[in-house]
Amino acid sequence: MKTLADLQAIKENLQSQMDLRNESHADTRIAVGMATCGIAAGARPVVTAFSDSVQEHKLHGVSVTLMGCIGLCSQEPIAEVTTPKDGKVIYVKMTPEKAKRVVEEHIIGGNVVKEYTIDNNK
Amino acid sequence: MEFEELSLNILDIALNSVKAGASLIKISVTASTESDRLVVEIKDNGVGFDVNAYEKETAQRLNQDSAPKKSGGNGLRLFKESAEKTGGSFELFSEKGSGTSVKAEYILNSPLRAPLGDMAETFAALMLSEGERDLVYTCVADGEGFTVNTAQIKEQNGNAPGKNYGTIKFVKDFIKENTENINKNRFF
Repeated sequence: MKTLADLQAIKENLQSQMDLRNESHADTRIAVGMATCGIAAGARPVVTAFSDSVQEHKLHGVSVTLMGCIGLCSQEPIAEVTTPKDGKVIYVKMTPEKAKRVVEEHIIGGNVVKEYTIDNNK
Repeated sequence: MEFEELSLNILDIALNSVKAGASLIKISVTASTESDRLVVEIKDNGVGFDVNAYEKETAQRLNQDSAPKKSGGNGLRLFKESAEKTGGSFELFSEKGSGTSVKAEYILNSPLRAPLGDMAETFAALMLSEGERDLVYTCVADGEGFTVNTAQIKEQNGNAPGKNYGTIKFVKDFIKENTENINKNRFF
């Protein structure tokens, strides 16, 4: 069983990540709708998939957070991804797998995953 | 509408505490075979609200069939119903300025009780919400249990501000493993 003492190891790991920081991801924000409608549609594993993926790829400057209902309940789970390059992109009907792809292609690769955006799902 | 897992109700209610500006949110899940109860409590020190006014508003809303069914504001009702349909009970205490406490008591072995579900994911999602606050989760089943306190974790991490995705992953795994260790498919 893990104990909280294991966090010391995480702290050291965090230190090494800081040294490798990649400034190109600064000011990148991922917000997942977590109002009652979002939760019911499956937003919880989507936000944790984003968080885990940011951790796995050791991305620095990317913030993963929650947001409220933006009035598009039938399109939930919704994720808003804001980058300096593309501004705000709204992804709809998200899943954990789609979240991983958005991190890899949009945030790391710099290419919006068009097939998941709200404009292509009306 | 209802949630498939109680841990989703818990996330929904705890996010009300986040919105209420709480600097401390305490969640506890206690199962007892002897009393055949599963008790879920969520307490915060947020702004609180007027319970009477809330109940009046809810009653009015339910009477307005023509009103659009918005999902906002349904969380407490969903949580209440999830407990009461098992034959359990629900209590809500809140006062302006002194926080809110919600307690749902389920009949542990009722076939109508939804599974607790993934509390590790619920806690991780709470750690991802905007702003800084302390979160405490305690889970006990027949006297065996564990606690996670983000204030303690923060201290061990040298009180660095902001989110640390490595820590969030660690806490998620910690809750998952410990829940499995005490549960062994018996309680939740």
